[in-house]
Amino acid sequence: MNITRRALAVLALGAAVIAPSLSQAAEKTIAFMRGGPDPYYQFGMNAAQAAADKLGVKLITYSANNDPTQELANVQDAITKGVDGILIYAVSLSSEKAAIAQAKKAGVPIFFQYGYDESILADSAGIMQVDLYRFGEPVGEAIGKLLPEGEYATITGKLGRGDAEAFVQSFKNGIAKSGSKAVSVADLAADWDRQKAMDAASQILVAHPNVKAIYAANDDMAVGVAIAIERAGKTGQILIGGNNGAPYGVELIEKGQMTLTGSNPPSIASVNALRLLLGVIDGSVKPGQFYYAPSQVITKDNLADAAPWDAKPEMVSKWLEEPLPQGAAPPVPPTN
Amino acid sequence: MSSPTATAGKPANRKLGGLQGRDLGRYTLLIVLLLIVVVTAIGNPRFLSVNNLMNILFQVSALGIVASGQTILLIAGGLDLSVGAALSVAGLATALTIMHTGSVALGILAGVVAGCVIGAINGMLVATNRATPFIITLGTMTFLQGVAILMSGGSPINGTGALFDVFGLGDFLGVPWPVYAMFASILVMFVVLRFTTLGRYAFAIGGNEEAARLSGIPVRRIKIALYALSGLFVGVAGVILTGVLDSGLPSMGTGYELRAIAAVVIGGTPLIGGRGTVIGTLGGVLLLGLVSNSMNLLGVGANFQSAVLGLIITAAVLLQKKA
Repeated sequence: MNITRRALAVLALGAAVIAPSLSQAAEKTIAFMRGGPDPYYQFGMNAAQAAADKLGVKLITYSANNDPTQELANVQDAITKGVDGILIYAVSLSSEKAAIAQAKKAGVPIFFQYGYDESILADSAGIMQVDLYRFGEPVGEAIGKLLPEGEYATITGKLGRGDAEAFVQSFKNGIAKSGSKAVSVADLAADWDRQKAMDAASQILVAHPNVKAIYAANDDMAVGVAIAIERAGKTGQILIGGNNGAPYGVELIEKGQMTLTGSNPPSIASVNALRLLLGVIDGSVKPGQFYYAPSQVITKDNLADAAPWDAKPEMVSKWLEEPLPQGAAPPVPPTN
Repeated sequence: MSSPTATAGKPANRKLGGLQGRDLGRYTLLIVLLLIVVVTAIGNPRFLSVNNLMNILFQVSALGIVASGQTILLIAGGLDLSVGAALSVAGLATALTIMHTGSVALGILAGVVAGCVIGAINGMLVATNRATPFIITLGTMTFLQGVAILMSGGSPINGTGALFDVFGLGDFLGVPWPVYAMFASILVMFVVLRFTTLGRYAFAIGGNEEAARLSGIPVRRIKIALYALSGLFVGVAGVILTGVLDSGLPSMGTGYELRAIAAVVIGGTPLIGGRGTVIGTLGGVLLLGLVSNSMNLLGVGANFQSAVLGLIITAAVLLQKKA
């Protein structure tokens, strides 16, 4: 009897040890790397984590703190750890190239969220981003329709990487496309920072008291612009167009302090990127394709339909049921 | 060998030159400030409007408070690179406390205490270790940046209720409350430096730490007190900035450490310590605010602004050094 009990105990112990390792063998491990501590990456990571939990995928998260060297170290560490794939918001193009070289050498597929460059597409598992050259265009078009003439100003992010410049240019293209005769009287940069945008907007309101619309290239800066307008006692008199569709931007729209925002929610984008990467790993998705990240213009009228940054688990489940995005021709710079 | 004539002539020249230099040095910053005011006022008459001048003071208020605290540290030969990250932590402590308790008073207390405690810990680390304040506070800066992200989960903590009504929108006699807070901080630091034992000890430690120790000054305790005092100022700035932005942000203090040190150095306090004034620091803070404001009002393109700002700051510092 004692011998039987002992044998059963040994069997149970053996099963307990072997079972998890068997399931681990089937479980995929994905490294999720974000460029820095920005809320955009954080919300993307949260949604990817929720999707990974539902798909039975293990997600290991890394942050490069906006440091390309740290990013490369993270890629190397993840490869050493034996991950099956890497999902990355890269810090810069140069760090992307270094990361892709490391991943290619190790045979680990790497999927990029933003940072599209023609030279890396073929070696990547895929790249997903919005069309940066046209990102501000729908916002400009919508603002242009509300402002047939008059003065407007723009506040963009940190110059030098190309995206901040492209957002403003595309916003202006949108204004022109709408048929509006409105003219730009000031183009300032506020480094994507709420406080700097507040300061810049205050100065715009002093220098150009007839300004009727301000475009902020992200919603964090739009919050600063809204505060500056409120401090100047002009709430409701100046249109504000933002970009990103962040929770605080949506809140401003709800309160009537912002007119609209061009949303590119990181939540659904990261969920789709994770699914595409897993597809590349199991061979059901062709690597090296470009995908457009979901985007939409959010106004007070369609708030309920907007994909939120802070996606609830049931929403993530719904996105997992939707068809996978299809590869598309990458964006090209406008000719103007 | 110098000729007797040259040698004989040198002290007199040096004295004369020193007097002129000191006078010029005292007024260099003022001259630069006036130059910017005049040029900008000619370029855009709205620059001198009360509204714009209040905007400038409002925009530099948090920096002015942080820089006031940094002044006494630099005078004492110290340095705190963690003030920006500490400002974020203090701001988040305020916003989170308000969010969870609904009490603005508790939020203010949390922010100020957080700043003060961080300062005191920095002081203890600096006072009891041989490593330079630069390295020690670089370490705490990195640590606190991580703490700020953990506290906020990487996202803004929005909504500060009455704090926004006061610091974001409120004013007294047309002057925004953060501006009063900045001038109060400068006044407090002026009094500390000019009339208290702590201020005198700060100058003594910055002038010659070993001599200060040998003369019986409790250098370690004084250093801890100085860092705690600077931390208190950072905590106050964190509370105010949280009110101004109606939110606590993990990145709200980014860059404050360098701008605060730049303002103090532009204001005439050398990095090696031993001398300096908080009034000079106020001049440095105003210079930073004025340059940015005037460029925007003069329509200087965004691509040029950083280069122009750097040139003006470098010129201001070099002119002072030369004088």
